[in-house]
Amino acid sequence: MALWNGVSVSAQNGAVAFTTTQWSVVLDAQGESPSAEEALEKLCRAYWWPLYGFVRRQGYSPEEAQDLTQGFFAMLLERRDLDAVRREKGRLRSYLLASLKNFLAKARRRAMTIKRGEGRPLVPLEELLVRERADLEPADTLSADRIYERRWALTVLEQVLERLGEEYQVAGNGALFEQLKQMLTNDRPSQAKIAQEFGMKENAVKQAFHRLRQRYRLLLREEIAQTVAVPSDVEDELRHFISVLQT
Amino acid sequence: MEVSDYPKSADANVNRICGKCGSRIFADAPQGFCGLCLFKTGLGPLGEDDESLGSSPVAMPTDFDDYELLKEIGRGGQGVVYRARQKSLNRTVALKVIGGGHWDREAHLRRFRLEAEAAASLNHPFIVPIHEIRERDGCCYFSMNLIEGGQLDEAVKRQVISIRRAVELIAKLARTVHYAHENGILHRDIKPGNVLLDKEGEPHLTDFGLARLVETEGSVTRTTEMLGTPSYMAPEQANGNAEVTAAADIYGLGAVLYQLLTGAPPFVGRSTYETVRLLLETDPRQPRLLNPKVDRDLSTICLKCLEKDPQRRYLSALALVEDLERWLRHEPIQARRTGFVTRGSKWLRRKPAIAVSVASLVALIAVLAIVIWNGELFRQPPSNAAVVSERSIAVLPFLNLSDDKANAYFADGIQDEILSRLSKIAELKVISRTSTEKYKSNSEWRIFSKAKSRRQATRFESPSSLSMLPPTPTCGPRPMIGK
Repeated sequence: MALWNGVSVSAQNGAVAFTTTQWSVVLDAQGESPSAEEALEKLCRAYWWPLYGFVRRQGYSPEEAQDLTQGFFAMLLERRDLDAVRREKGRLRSYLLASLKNFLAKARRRAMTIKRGEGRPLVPLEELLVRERADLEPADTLSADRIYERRWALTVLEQVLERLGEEYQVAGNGALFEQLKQMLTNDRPSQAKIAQEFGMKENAVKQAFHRLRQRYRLLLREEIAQTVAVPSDVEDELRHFISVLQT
Repeated sequence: MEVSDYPKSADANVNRICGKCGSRIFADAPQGFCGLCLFKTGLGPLGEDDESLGSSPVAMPTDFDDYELLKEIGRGGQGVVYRARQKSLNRTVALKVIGGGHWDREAHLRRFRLEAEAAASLNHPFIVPIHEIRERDGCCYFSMNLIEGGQLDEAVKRQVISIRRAVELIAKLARTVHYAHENGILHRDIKPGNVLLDKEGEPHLTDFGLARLVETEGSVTRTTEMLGTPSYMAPEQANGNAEVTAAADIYGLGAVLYQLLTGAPPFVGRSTYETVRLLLETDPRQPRLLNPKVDRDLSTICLKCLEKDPQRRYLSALALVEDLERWLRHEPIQARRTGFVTRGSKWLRRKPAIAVSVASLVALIAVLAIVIWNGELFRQPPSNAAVVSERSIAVLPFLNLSDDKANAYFADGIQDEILSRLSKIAELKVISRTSTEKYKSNSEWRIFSKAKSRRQATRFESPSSLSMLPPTPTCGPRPMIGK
């Protein structure tokens, strides 16, 4: 059993045993506790990119989209109204999208003033601009919803790879990780080549990659588990992401 | 309000194509990885049961209902195969169990059951028989005869087999496949790994992993999911065509024959995607180019199985058997080698863009040639004063006066060779062969040529002697020189 950020996830026969996630903390407390607020803020900080992409696809300029995204987070953290979650099958991904659509509709209809993040933007402006320049995706063929779903899937992977890399860095195996991670998606570089480069036996490389892949799979499920309310949704989310990226 | 001030276009942002799954990887991919492959990797099992480490005697369960699992002997797309002992009958069998942790569980189980049912309904000495099909904890498994000799591809690696032996094996397999087709069952995944050799070296077809009852076609496997092994897969399977027929199995048999004859399957790419691309866009190299011991007839048989168009393959597995057996008896085969015109037209159909480009280029060169030619004429207009007396030469036909009529081609060949050599002399106009053809039947020339050819026979014994010819004609029955 591994413990990560208050999340308890273990692997037994391919299933993820599921106790507490940041999202379930939020749901259980209905946002009425400091820990729930902190958990929601962490989640928003991690998954702002899909939301920002959705707003941009609505036709807003980068500046307007930044204001709207930050304003949405401020509203979300202040309002703590999570009733809609049940209607969205208890998934953070669906809940945030529904909430954002509602927020944007109201913003347009009433021409309301966007409430800024009280001088403390959730996402730094520099980061937004960097990502804006890097928004190189098939945007002209995707609807706003698809952009949101696609970016969400990619963000999950980014979070996982980042965490995995940090773990290997801490253990002093950063260079080995850089080589082994290539094998997650293809057969190159070969195990023999890595073995030669790091002075390892080929079987040791095979074992190391096996451990890395197991850890990757576990972290992926953990990351997804952070955003769903019930354990059975983890596999569904995985399948959903595959279908999103396949189309 | 979905407008797009987004400046990017879909294709412009494609960084590369994933070598594993073929999907496009955009610039926003996480650390440059294919997101799709990362998620698919993430779907794998979480426990110690990991395919990369092969069989694990510690992790492997030993007790499985009426069976004691002894050793993992194979692992494929459909499940894991164990050598097992059936306790109630005290016999050793092969037990195939569906792999755990598969994401598409329901569809997978359903396909697995179909597989077992299809194989169990067949009763043929060269099809591995199924003993029983059972379920346990939501998993499906079946027991079957254990074939001790190993897979065909492994056997071939251990010992090179002769061409004749390869043909005999494929003929037996084709007859077995024909039996399955007569019973309404397609195999759909014929490959060396699914052919087991017993101790006597007889081939047994196993793993009807993709077989299905023809009557239920479409109920399970008509999806966009591509099934089968790319290197041995028929093109219509690779491109997701739902109309897969018995011709796909004939392709598979041809691919296995190709492997046995040449040592490699017809198409091998660096990735699955590349293999499929080669399969769909290129023709296999002739087996006899890779193995000179393969004769033209066998090469023709093999390539007929591998035709891209299913209708151009053998009409049935039996027809393939008959042609292979003709070859074994040294009789003429039925299959005909694809002609140049057919190959050209097939190429045109597959590569219309390149064909149009080449045609345009040829047309352009032709136009340029005409323009340049006309330019030359313009710069040097013909006039009576400028006309230089032109020396011309005709080489009359040679006649075969020997008793062996088969040598006639040699006489024509000499005339052709002399004409082509003379035509390289700029100052000399050479009269075309068609203009001198009428003299071939002239009796006077015959007599003359008979005497002449005897005198000069030694001058044209070999083509190399032709290089000694002077620019003025000294050859042929009666050269004509004029102005």
